[in-house]
Amino acid sequence: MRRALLVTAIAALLVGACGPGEQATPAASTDADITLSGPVQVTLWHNQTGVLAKGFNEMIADFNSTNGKGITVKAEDQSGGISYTGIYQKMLGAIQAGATPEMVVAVENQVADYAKAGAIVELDPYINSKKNGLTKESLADIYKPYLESTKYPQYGNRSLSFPFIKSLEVLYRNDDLAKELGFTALPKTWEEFEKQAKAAQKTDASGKTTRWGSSTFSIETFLGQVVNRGGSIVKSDLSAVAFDGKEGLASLQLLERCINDGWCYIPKAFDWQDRFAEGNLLYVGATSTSIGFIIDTLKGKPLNWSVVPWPDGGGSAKQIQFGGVVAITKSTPEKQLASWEFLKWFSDSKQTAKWASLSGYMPLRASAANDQALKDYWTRRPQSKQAFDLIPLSVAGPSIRGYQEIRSAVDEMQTKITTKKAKAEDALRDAATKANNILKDNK
Amino acid sequence: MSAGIRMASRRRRILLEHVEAYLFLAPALILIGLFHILPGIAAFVMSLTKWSVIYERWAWFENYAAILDPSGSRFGEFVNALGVTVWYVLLTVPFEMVVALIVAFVLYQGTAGRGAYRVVYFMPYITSVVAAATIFEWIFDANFGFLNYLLGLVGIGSQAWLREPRGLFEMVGSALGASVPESLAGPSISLLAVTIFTIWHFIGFQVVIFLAGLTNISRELYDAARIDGAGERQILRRITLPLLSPTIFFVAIIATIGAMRSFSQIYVLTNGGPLDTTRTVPLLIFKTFFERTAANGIGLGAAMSFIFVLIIIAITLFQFRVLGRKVFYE
Amino acid sequence: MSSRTLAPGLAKHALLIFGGVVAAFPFYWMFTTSFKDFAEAAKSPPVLWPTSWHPENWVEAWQYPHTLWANAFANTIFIATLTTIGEVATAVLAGYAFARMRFRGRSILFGILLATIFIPNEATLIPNFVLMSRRFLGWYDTYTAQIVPFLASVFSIFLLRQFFLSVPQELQDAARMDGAGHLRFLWSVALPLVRPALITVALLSFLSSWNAFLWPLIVTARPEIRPIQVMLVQFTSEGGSRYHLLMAGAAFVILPTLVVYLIAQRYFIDGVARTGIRG
Repeated sequence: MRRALLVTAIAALLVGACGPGEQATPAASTDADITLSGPVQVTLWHNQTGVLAKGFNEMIADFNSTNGKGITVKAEDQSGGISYTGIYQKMLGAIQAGATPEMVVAVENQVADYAKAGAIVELDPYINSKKNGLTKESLADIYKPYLESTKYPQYGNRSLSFPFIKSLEVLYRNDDLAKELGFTALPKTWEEFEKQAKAAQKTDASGKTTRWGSSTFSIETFLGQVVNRGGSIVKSDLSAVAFDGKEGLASLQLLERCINDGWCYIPKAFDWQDRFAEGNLLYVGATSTSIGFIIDTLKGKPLNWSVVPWPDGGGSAKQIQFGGVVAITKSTPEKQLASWEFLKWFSDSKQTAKWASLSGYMPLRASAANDQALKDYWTRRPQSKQAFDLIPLSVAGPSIRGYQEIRSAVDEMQTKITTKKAKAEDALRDAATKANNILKDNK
Repeated sequence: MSAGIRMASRRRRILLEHVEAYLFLAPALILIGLFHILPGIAAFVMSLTKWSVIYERWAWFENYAAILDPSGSRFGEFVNALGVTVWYVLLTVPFEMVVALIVAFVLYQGTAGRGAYRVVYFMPYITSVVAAATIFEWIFDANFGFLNYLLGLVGIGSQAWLREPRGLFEMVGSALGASVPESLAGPSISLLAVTIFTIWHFIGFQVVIFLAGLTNISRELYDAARIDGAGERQILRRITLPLLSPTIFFVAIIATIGAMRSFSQIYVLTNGGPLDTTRTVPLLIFKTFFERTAANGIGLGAAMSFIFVLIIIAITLFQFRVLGRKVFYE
Repeated sequence: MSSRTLAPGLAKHALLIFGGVVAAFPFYWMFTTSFKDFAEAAKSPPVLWPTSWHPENWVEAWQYPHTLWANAFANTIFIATLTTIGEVATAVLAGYAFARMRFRGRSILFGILLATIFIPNEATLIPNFVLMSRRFLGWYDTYTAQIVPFLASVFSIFLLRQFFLSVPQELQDAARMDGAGHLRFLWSVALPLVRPALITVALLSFLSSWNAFLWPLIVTARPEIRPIQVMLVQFTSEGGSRYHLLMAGAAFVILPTLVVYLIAQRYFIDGVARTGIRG
């Protein structure tokens, strides 16, 4: 009897620890319209490491010294070496521990999980606030695919995060090698792409491949290809995934052929950058953020390379875009507003242009292209401009709960192909079954 | 009257001794109660709930049912993880024990430099798993790793090691030109790589235990046996092994439990991949807790860990029944 | 030695030397790689002995952007020292009580203590985490969270109990005749007698604190208070495939324990041999 009591008491304690599972509630409009008085400090968990952290901290310092509202942003790298996943795990822990930062950088869909725990502030009142919000023109200046990705279909399409550090999946080409092989024109179709890539393969005397046509596909290269070919990732009613259609099969079979024919390089983490810099990779599908890393890896070695549009598979969007958004957690009205002020500032044309030229992330606004500093940067780094021009052709992945795990299922599917564990048809079917279960579990 | 006083003072002394003893125990008991026992109970309570990032509702045994329902989506991965765990145990424990026993025997027979060997063999065990795994990632590197270089010397092609999900038998089969069906593919090469690391890291521990067990066997027994004309092989079979059997039994139990619950080395080396071929049950539990938190990860993860503990206890009891009978107690 | 015993003797040594090489090679490989330049580290076939030595690798690894090695070392030493002191203290008291004091519930309490070994660590991770939250202890992201939960260890209590049991009863009786209480007897008689065990417990406690990884990873958020193992993992994921630097990082973490081990190896090995748990 006493033991039963004890168990109940502990259960009650633990249950009480986290409060009832509430959905993200709209912040009272008054919260978004208050005026800040006195200094406020807010913490931001981010994932900027290495060279990027330096520029990022410069931006933060700039905001802290110029905002004139007494706001201090304290930026902490919480990625623990595994970037977004690291922050995500930390954040779930922090929600349990009741010790969340005021702002957190996340991949779009991760915010849907935070919202499930009721930890997140809805941003529409802030965005639309007459006093502290964005004007219509300013809002229209931000790329639509970016804003779309911060609306959450499982939460009435409300804005639960704000675009922050955006990238898109692009195709890198070694122009010197393309020229050497006689491919002056870009591949218009996926068939042409395959033909060029295949031609780039070179083997040494022992039969070991020393030059490759392409690296294997990242998760986003696959999903982007599905979209590029006219398919979609998830059905619009979110009832099931849709990447397992004919577009998905065609994309996966392309991967299968490149493995079987041997023209694909299977990278370990980011070592494709080494192969690319050595001049031994014709094409690589990767995030636009890699531009800076490729330059670093080249170490001044002369190599003509560029960011090129993807082949046209017939879809309305050509590639996928993704990246970091920031969610504001529930704290005090002052801290929430201070956080919003920071996000607003960071998305301003001047700042987003500066950050883009410091980091290689994509600017959030079209008007950033007029910024002189960014123009100068693009002269030095034409690849970034090439990537920038592709943004209007991009589309975001679905911002839904469980999407991260669906991506893992896609990753696993591709690993099955690269390690020759399964045929494309079977791997695709298995991945879809798994992904549909994930969707169900996350309902 | 004086007897009464004596009684009272004795009672007081006993009471005092009790108070003192409990005071001695209090720090340890409070800490262990707070950080081991209470969370253990709490975890069980959590396993009876739907608990995503936060508590959702009471669920009785729904999580257990979800994991153990063969038609459910959770069953497959749990069984897969159990299978990987079993392979991991089978690949590490017997090999470790046999080799450690042989080494301990050889050392025991008065080899010169026994102390030095013991120090070297035990060295990996005191190294942090994280740091040692960093070294092994380098040794296992597919392109520049030392292990592939060694294999190359004996004419075996390079392996992807930690990133190779294909099965051991499958690889051997294909090298011999035979195709092995999926169901008989066996443990993956990546699990084999993790196993190699585990054996390297833990074998010194077993050598030390076996050596201690051997040292405890009385020399007189050997002398007596020799006087009676017993040969070395007879001594081994009739004296050494029986007298060492409690130690062997103990190591078998400890090593099995330890291997089943291994976490850090797998987490650091492969994090369960590639294709879940190194995802043992503890890794699956961790993943459920921390990566699927939003999909009732905490409820399911807690339920999984209790099912797993029951399995461990069952296996331990089984070992007691089967091996325990063969143990010779003095 | 006759030729009949020489051959097995040689085989024996060959076996032992082979085992020793396997056990020690990774350490050798770590040290030599850490002194090679990038090109030589990734050379195929591998270079067994560096052609030129590059101690600047160690400096580069130490000063690698966003690593706080010095900080992490200070944290680990601080955490490990306090943990060790606490763990030894609680284990001495409890181990002594279980071995030499008579009180009701002794065997039940001892049984419960041993049974806690069966509580799954994986399962208690989350509740322990919740326990650290603001709602309860409020220790999330503090040094306290990295120290206090480890101030008592069943292993250490068990080990010291075994040693206290071997202290002769006559000594205790004599002390009692002299009017010495338990605390006096423990301090001036029993403790000096079990000194080797104390050193063992202290060393193993320090070692496991030094090697702690998972708990600090999840319970800390600020980089400034994180220990070296977490730092190493962060470093390895940032260092990519610059193995010459990664090996230097691994050496930072391994070297101190290796030195302590080689000096005090007897206590490590004896402690493990005597109880066989931990690991």
